Amino acid sequence: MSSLLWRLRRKLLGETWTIPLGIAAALVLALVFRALLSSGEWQTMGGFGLAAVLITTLIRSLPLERRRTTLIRSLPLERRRTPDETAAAHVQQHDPPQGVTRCTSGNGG
Amino acid sequence: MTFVLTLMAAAGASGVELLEALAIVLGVGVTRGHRNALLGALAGGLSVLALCVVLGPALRAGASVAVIRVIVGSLLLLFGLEWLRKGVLRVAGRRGRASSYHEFVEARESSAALPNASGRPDWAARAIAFQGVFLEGLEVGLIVLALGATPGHLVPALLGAAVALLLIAAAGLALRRPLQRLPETQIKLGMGIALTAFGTYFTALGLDAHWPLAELAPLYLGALFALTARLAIRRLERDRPVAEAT
Repeated sequence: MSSLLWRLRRKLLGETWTIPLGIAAALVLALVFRALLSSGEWQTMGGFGLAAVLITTLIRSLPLERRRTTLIRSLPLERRRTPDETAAAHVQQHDPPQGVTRCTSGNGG
Repeated sequence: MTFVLTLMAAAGASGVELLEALAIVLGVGVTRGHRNALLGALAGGLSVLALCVVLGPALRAGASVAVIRVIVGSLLLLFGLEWLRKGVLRVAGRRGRASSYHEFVEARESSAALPNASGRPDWAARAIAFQGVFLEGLEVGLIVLALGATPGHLVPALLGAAVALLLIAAAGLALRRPLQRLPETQIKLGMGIALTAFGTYFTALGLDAHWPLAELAPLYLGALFALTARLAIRRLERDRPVAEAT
């Protein structure tokens, strides 16, 4: 019975909450904008605004951004630097602290 | 034009869901006997029909056309966007392809694992067939109800579903095995686009927005969602080799 209910929920609401929540958000936004805009403006643009929110919902439900995070995490450690670390590394490479000899091409002569 | 669009959407969406139901019934039938599978399927189909007979008039009773359009549109969006999401992931290779044959094998394996019910009614097999037909049929029922709930759309929605039911039942009787060569993934993606386009169209109309070209709006909305799906698939495909290489 619980298996049937679980499958029923997945059939009706889908596998992710992003889509039902996105549809609910689209409806709420539509009601808000319909109240704010003039009747003519809403009638002309309302449908396209709704379509835009739904397209955003679809894109958010896909693993596009999560994929990027996964990719960054799967990179080798030396490539996983924060912007500050990158800047510090850049400074160190080009302006080494006193007493530190930068290794350059040639014999340093 | 709307008549044809509604009929095609109802027939297509019902068809792909009924294919899955048929695969489950056939899977149960080949292992536990067709009589048990058909009894379970009949009970599932009648339960869906009873629900639709109750829900259909309730959806229309006492509500204005605008409210009905918003409810119907939201329902279509719920199914359409989910099918679209799954279709994009499948075409991009991020998810297994939609396959009735897979459902058939699963149903066959799960019914084969059940204890033998020699001489007694095989309730376990009937329950599997019932569950499959009820769940897939409920989706069909809600989609047809939603497509047919607005004035002038009931006839094409019912006609589309009836055509799909007849075709799938005839295929099942003739072949006694699921159809393997249908491009189910692409059909489901297409149906996801169609349902989302109709859902957007009805919801906006219910909220008093107007569409340019009036009843032809589902066509360009479909094109817009198809373009979005195409771009998303390309992006997912482009990311894929990088992920696999790391």
